[in-house]
Amino acid sequence: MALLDVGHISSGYGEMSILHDVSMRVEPGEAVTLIGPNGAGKSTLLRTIFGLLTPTQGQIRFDATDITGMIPPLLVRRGLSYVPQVDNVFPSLTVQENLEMGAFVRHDGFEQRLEEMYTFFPTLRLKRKQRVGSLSGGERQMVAMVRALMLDPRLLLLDEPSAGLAPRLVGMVFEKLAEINQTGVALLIVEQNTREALRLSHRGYVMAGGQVRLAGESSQLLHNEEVGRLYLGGRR
Amino acid sequence: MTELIVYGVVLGSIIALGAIGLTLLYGILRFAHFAHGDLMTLGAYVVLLLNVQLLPGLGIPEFKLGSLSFGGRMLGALVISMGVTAAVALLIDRLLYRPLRARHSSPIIFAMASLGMAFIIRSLIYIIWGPQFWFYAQDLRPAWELPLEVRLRPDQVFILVLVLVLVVLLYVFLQRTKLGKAMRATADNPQLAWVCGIDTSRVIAWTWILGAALAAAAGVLYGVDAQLRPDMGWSFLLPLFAAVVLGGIGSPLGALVGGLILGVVQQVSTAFLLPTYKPAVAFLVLILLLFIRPRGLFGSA
Repeated sequence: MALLDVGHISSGYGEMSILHDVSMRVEPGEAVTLIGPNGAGKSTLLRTIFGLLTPTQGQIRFDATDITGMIPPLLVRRGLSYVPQVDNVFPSLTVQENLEMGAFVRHDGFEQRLEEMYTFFPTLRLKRKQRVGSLSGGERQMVAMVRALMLDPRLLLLDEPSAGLAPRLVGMVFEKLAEINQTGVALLIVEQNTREALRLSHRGYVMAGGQVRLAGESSQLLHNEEVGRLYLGGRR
Repeated sequence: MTELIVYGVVLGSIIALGAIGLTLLYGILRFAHFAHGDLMTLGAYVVLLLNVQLLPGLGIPEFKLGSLSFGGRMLGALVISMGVTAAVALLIDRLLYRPLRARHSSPIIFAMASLGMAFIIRSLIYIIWGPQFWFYAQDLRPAWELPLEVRLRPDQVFILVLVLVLVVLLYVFLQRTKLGKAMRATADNPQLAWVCGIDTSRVIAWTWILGAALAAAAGVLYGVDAQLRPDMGWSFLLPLFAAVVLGGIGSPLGALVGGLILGVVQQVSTAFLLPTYKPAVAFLVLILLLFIRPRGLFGSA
């Protein structure tokens, strides 16, 4: 059974509807990429899954439970975490305080999880007492991802994790995401660096105009001529 | 001159207590809380009610504390007053600000609502206690003669010590406890706090509790230093906001330093100018400093 099952969702901001009858799924441990042009509704889909927007139609199931309209404080307790595209850290808090906030709803095992994460991301251990506002863009993005991992989620939603990063750091972010996925955390990624994102993921969905236009194995999408022409910059 | 500076620190520490609460509230709720001065007044009058008008009649004696003009009963009344004022602030939030939050009102609506609440609180105090001055204690205590020709009343030393204790407690709360960190996180990035699963309504409630309790303490300490008037808190409002802006909006440390600077500048100015000009001097300093540091002393981008 799918870990996340989005069924016929319509959603948007107030009067403005953006998603129309979107269905998709993520299997346990799977990495899935959402691609498509700006305004396709990719970020809106993530925000709707994470309860920041309430769908006007449809149902979202996580781990066989109906989570439609459930608020983030409840969702994080069920094993769902979300990394927004922008403003995804607490700049005036230290690295370690950011991670503590990521584990806010956790009652035990914080120290152990922190240790695991510091082993996984050694740079953060070195900078744990620094204010995040003073870190570089790449380091901030690491803090944002690790913050979302503090609850040991089963599914991590990432909104353009490589946006605004230098090319060298983009590679680093995707490497880390692949490692995270290998530990068994399922990923649902919205990305502009479509090629890299598809390489690390198992499947992908192509969205346009608030609808899913195409779904398939990542390798299929990478070699699909139309997808290549429209979203992958035209070259292999 | 030294004496004026010391008196300025006493006044400044009272301003700081109020300003810290004001800046915390601004950080979390994002509006200028104009009723903050009147929460100070309320806190001061609750102690008047308890310690002067109610408890003596019940035969509860004052346990004198050294050379202070008051004693243990007064301290008890202070603690109760901080609790009562916090409870009143929570009630006001429930009745007034929470409905505004639910309909996503703009900050100016919140500010105007709090201005209205300021008038309501002050009017109630006028109705209950009248327009006259009140004093916690009638007896005058001899001042201590300190070096550098400073004369300081034991009560003033108490004010400084209590403010120091409260500020240290607040610092420990904000830096060391999970709830305190969640408060700073919410002030920093409310959206992300929600994404982390932080219960924002609980953070808001604790911000009111802290802000109102500190305001009550500030009002009581001003009552200890001077006297009680229904408009005492209202007249503190401008220095409170000036201290908040001077220190950098949203920064508790900034509010503390801003409050102390304003207190000292205001008192020292009385050596050259009539005391009536005190607020004007405070604003002159504020304007000059904002020319140099537009975001205030401890403000961030």
